[in-house]
Amino acid sequence: MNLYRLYAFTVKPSRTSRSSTPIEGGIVTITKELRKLINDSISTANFNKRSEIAFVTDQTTRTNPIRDNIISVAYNSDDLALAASYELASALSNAMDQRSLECLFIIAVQQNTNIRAVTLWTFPRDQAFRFNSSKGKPLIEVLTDVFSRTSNLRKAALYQGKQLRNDFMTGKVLDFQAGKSSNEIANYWLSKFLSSTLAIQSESGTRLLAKTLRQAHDVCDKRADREQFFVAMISIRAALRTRWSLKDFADQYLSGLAKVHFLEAIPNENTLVSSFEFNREIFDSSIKFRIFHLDSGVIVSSPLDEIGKSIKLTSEEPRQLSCEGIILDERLRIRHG
Amino acid sequence: MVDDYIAAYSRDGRIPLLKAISSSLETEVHEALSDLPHIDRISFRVKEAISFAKKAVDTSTTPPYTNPITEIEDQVAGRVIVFFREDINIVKNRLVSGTFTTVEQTHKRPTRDEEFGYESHHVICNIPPQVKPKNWDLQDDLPPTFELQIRTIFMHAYAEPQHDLVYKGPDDLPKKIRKELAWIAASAWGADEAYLRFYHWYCSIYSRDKLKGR
Repeated sequence: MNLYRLYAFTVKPSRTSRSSTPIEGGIVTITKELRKLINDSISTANFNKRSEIAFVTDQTTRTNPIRDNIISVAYNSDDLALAASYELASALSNAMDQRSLECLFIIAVQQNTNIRAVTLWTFPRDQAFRFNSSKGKPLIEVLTDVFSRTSNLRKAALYQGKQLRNDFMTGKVLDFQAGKSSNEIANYWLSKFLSSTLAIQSESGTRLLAKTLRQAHDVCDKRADREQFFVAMISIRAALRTRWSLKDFADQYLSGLAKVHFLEAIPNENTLVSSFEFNREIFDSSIKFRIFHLDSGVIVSSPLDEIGKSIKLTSEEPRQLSCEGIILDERLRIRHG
Repeated sequence: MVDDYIAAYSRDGRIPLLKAISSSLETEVHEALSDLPHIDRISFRVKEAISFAKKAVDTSTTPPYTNPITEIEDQVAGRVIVFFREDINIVKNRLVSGTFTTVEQTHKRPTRDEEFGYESHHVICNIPPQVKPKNWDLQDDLPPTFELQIRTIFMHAYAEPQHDLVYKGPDDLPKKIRKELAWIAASAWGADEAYLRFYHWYCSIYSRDKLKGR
């Protein structure tokens, strides 16, 4: 992909301001050094391993102002592309409130035949020291018009496709703050500015997590590995964090063969790394019971939250199960269940 | 031109990928709707190559397709058929909030209130990451979206038999035949309304009986 358009703006928060904040910036001449810098930044962002997102469109017209401006920046004439870049910068300013720092907003457009890739970056304002000891007299300058390339507050998004009615509908997002217990700051980038949502929706993602756990559990034949899944299931239900990817879950809660089998049950790389909002109710309804087959031929089916209460399990081998409760119903059957 | 589109649509390995997506999407919809009552059936299909090619060359499409091989959005399509008219929004809300990200929603129906004809709820959705086979994203000639239709049994009973006859058939039907089809559509609409009234009556009676301990 060849870098062929570059725009840069300083953007200040204006969402809670009484008046709009002027946007400064415009088209940037692409120098050899800048081309290398941008290309390296895109390469190290590793968007293939980032969450997939989807534009929230008007369901009648299928339009989204951010998508429309991104396509304009990518494909339109120079004048219209520049106007669209200002629109994007303005939208970013309107999405940011006083909790966000002023930032450098960069729009990079790459092309390869009829495919375009548009990368949006924000780099927060920072301070830096410049040290000079020439002429034997050390001098420290405080630079305030710098923006951090490495700050954890920086964000990025990539959209790529052709100029078609159903292309540029999805993209990838990079947010170093994602995964923290508070999603508020991350949400300004995803929902308020990009006007997008996670591509794996909450209920689908939660069902997928439950299904992957079940599949991995059933493949594991060692008790210690299976126990990891039970502990993980209890832990994620109690976690404050709500936004997960399957990779986050595996890294946080699993190890060894349990983790291997869990990762093997995931259909593709994109699914592994794409985030979703965990839904406790859906999760509980997807994994409802633990089933134990005893050496006596008895089968015990227990709701998960009864383990440790009316169902007691020993931890030493051979493990034993004891169960106590009031009989509500009793039937004669040819088969179990 | 049609032959070129058939060849492109059916190129080696493409249709198996579409079938894999179709199967995965059907499973996804089944799981999403598993606790909802009044679902008659859920089915997904991959469009036939000849049907795709005819759509690709159709000059009446507005706006015209630039790249039909990725732009035609019902290459993979699913249908959910429900018992009652009021179940349509329940199913649609379940699928568009929490299951799929959607691009466009359309309630296809006759333009005038006094007309009777084809009626169906169509939703265009992004194909989500978790249903894609491993090598899906390596291809550049696959659609990014799929279509979902939600209908009642009676809407489907009207639409399905005459779909190939009117939608893709000759432009001019004899007047009497048009009237017959309109009568069938009106009857289907009336049956939907009557069945819903019956269902509401049944629910009210059942609730009353339950309160009285019957």
